[in-house]
Amino acid sequence: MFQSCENFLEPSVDQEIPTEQAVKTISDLQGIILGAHDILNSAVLFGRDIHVGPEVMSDNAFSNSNSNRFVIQSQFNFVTTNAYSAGIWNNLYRAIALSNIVINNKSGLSGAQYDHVVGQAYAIRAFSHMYLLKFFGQQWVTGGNPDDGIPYITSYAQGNNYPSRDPIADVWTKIGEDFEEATTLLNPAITASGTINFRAVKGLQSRYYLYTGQFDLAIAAADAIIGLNAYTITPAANLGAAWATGTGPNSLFEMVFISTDNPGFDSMSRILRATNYGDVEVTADLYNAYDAADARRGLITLTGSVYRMNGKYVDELTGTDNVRIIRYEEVLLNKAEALSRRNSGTDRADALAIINNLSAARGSARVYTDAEPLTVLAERRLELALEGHRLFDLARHGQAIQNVPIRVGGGLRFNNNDTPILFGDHRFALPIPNAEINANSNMTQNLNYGS
Amino acid sequence: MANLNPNDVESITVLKDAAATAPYGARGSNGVIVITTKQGRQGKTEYTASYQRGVNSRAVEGEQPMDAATRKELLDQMRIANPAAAVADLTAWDGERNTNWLEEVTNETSLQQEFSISARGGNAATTFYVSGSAFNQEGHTIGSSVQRITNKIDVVHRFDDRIRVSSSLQTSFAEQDGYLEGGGFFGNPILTAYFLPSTLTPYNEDGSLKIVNFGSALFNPLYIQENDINRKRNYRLINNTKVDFNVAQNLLFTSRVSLDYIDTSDKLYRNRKYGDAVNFNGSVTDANSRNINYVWQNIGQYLFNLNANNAFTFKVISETQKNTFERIFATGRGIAADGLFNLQTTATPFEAGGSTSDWSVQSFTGLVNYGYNDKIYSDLSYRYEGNSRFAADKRWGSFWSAGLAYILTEEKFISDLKFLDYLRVRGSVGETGNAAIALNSYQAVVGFGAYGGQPAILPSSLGNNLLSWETAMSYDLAVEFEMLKRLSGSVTYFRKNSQNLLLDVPLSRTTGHTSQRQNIGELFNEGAEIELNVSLARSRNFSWTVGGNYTQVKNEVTKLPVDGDGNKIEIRGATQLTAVEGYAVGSWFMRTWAGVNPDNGDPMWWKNTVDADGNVTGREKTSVYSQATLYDQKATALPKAFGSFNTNINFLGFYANATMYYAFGYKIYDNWAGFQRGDGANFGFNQYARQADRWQQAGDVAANPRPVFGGNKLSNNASSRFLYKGDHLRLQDLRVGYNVPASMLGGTGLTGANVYFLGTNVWTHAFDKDLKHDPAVPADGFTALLTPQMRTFTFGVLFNF
Repeated sequence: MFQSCENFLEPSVDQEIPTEQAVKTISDLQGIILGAHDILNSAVLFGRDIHVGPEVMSDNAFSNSNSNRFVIQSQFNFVTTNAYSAGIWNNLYRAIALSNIVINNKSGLSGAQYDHVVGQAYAIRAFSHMYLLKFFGQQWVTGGNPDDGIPYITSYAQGNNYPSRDPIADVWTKIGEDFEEATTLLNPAITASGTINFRAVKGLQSRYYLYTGQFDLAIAAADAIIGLNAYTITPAANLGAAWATGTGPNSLFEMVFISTDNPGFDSMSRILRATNYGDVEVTADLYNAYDAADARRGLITLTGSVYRMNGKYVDELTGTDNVRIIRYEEVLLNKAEALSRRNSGTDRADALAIINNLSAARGSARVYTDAEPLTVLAERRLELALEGHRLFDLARHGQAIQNVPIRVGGGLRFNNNDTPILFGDHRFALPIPNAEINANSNMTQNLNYGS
Repeated sequence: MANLNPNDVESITVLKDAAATAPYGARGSNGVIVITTKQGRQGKTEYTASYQRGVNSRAVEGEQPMDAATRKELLDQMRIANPAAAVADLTAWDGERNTNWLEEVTNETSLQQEFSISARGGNAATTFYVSGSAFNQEGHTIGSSVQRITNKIDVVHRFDDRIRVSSSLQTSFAEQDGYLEGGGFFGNPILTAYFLPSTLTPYNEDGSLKIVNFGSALFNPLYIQENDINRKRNYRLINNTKVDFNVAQNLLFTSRVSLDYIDTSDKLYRNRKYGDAVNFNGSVTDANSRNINYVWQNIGQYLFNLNANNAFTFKVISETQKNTFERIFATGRGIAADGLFNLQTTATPFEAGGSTSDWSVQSFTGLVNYGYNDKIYSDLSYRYEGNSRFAADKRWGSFWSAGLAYILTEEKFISDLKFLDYLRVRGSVGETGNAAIALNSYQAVVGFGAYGGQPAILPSSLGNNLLSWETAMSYDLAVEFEMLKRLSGSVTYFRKNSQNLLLDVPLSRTTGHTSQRQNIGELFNEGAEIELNVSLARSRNFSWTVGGNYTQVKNEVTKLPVDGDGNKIEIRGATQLTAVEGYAVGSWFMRTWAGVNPDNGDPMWWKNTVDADGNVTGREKTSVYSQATLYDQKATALPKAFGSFNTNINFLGFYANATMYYAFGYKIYDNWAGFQRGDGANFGFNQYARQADRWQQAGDVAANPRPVFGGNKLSNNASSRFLYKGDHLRLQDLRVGYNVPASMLGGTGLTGANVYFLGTNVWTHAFDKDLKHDPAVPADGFTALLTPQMRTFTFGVLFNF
């Protein structure tokens, strides 16, 4: 009788399964890695917001507030309760939680397939922490505490519910170690760009080492991709068509969207193109930075006085365009930047060759005569426009965010202040979300964001 | 309740103290409302028919949208400082068009009516009650309506002296058409009423509805309401069957089964021409769900009279309850032709899904009642209850109660006091349990998603195996009295000390989760209730009573544990303290508005000033939002004091009664003011009319800051600027009517007739003159964008025959 009572009160769990049962086989681990990708491709992360925010927070784009999206970012009007901060913070840590379930699993499995999955987990952990640091660390804020990086999390459900911020330098180191660990585990033969893979990590390392100033390593990582001879720069004539396929030929890693699994309204194309959202417009300053022959200018459409990045994301109905996280051309630019900034021997000449080669392949008539870091940055701006790099590229070079003029009637910038946001301004970091401060007594707020 | 025919209700009783609610277990931990429905009656069959018809309008006018000319003035002021400031709708404005969208989306006087009929009768063996009713209501907001049809049959049959069977079956059908209430989405007509600029008009020159881009992702709400469908249909069957078996003299066995079956079907249809679904040529979502709840109760009862003065009742109850819920839904896109609303007629299946869930409760209760000489009554109860929401070893809880009542007027030394007609003192103490948490909270589980078409595993809940009952000790003490043949009343004191509170404790997001349900902390609720009724006149033809009641409640979180890191746990929301030691639950806690700087029109808030050691020395004004201090706003969303006054007059068959409700000591927050009181932020949307009162030149003492295109120093972010006192009086019910005397009904075949006029929410007075919204908001304290409370005037007739 009592036994039957117990069964009667046993609830069923039909949509979910207990965590300890969920991690037993290699396919369970693969499912968790796909789960991490499912989080990364959400609209609040790489599905849209992480790519759009750093563009409207720069001289490349602004929000016209048509559907009230990206207005706060465009004006740098951040307060601690902004959904943008919370969305990035919460969800990147969710992806990290999944990677930690895989890394710390007790399944007892081994073998090449297993190593690859664990390698993907290390890569996702490094990648997610890198974005958290770029958005929330105090490294570009004058007067910011060098100990105020972000918590580097390496366990799941182990009871450390109140982590402090790790020092900025330590976080960079740990990201580097995790990327390196990933390259030793990942199978280089698996190259499908829809999930994180060996080539993606090499490419991301070439980007990562630019931030840490380790130019030899950045060049080596870039050469690991270039040396494969697997990619060529898309010629100018094919550029528009290549983007319009929804998946680039030179993609190392991209978020996959298909007709039954996509961001819908919250897609890149819906926010960039003239739709019922259409909040994000390109600045005339960016458009005018291209010369007329540059095929990349052709990706931007001018209607009346409105410039729109129409060419990179085309499916405004369902949003099935894959979102590029790293592609071959960026790896070339990463190498050029590393060479330019290392500046020893023939470095500047080599860097000059890379940017002139890229520029020419895009049909531009421009011939660069030097490869100063800011020259490489200028070419990088043209190539990677509206792909989520600009704010961080400016920050890495210690540059101010220029308050370039925007279309009359298009809204406004920088809280109606005409001056640029100088490098070191507290707004080079987002506020730590209020909810995190409230839940974690060891968390400290970024400079000048109050309580 | 929404499915209940109000005419079927015989009585409503509210039980609060621990002894009275003990038989209901955890479900009764916050009090019990017992609704007794009508049953059959032996004798000639009696019929009742009634009809009522009423008209609805807003109980409180509410915030008004700004007119086009004033908004243009605001823009012109902003253009002085920022010549580039422009919004598309005003650029294209002809200087004349002016639409009040609130009026456009409102049916100024919407009708409702109800018809009901019932019969009851029976003989010595069998009695019955049957009823039916039909109700329909036009929504106050365009495109919304409610219809309800109910019927009920209740039969009681005595087989012999030992066995009695009763069964009731209640069925209802309800259909609600209209938008999803209070949603922050652009399809909500009340949202569009405040967001759409008044420079735009819903109609073309030829009178047809506009289907153009209204900018700002807003659509013409008139077209959407006319052409889309948001429909919820609810079918419900409730059966209660009971067998009473007199096993022996004084020994009664009862078995009762209650079954509640709810079937819901929702339809969301988005037309293909205009609106949200235009990009995929229209869409249809159908969702069906079924909820089945059964309760099986077995009761043994033994009456034992020791002697004429000492009577005992012993009761044993076992109860089993299970709830099962299942839901499926599907969405199709691409509608072949207008007017086709079904999935069958969509071109592309887009999405399908389904889910199930269940919960169950089991309990065993023992009760003893003891009565001494009709003077002293006492109750004791013990209950052992298990709930599926907790892990196997934490599932069962033991609860108990004890109550004592003493009718002092039965004692000679009291009954000698001639002015006192009745005096009763009662008290109770008991421990109750609460299990009101989400299903499957204790289990650590993963959920499922998809990436690139492949199934993916996602973290869902961290779980907590230690989760168990929240318990409370309740104490009640009351005195009830009647005196001087015309005065009656009661005074009650209550206190409830709750512990092991079931709280969602926020987690650092670095865990991958946002919160974990835990048993932590203690709080108390304490208060008093006073009720007083006076009979001013009581004769055959004229009677007049006046009464009132007053309740005062205080609530405070008394203890929260320290977290794993040695810091006191505090649960805070963006504008409220959910649970912080020393504060009431839900205390408003935010920046305090300090008005507008008369020199430059900047917004100001208060901030603490501190000395070198960090001690607070005072406060000063600041125009930097991030520097402002968060302060306790000294109120929650729930009134500290509330109650009502009522009066009832009867004169020669005419009657009038009225109830005035009051509530004091609470605050409500306008969580949409950030848009409609933007001071230049969100200016592409319309503003509240009150924003016209703004700073324009040095020296102006204005209610609102200088408008700055894009926003003035974060002035529209959360602060007490949008927090209002909710204190109000409301004439909730006013009823006048006439009971036609039987003498006048001779020959008509009627045995009774009544005509009446009823007013609901007739008059409201809010004491905060800055509050324009209705002060009666949902318990969370947010004004939201809900269908407003209605003022209803109803005329009704009722016949007995």
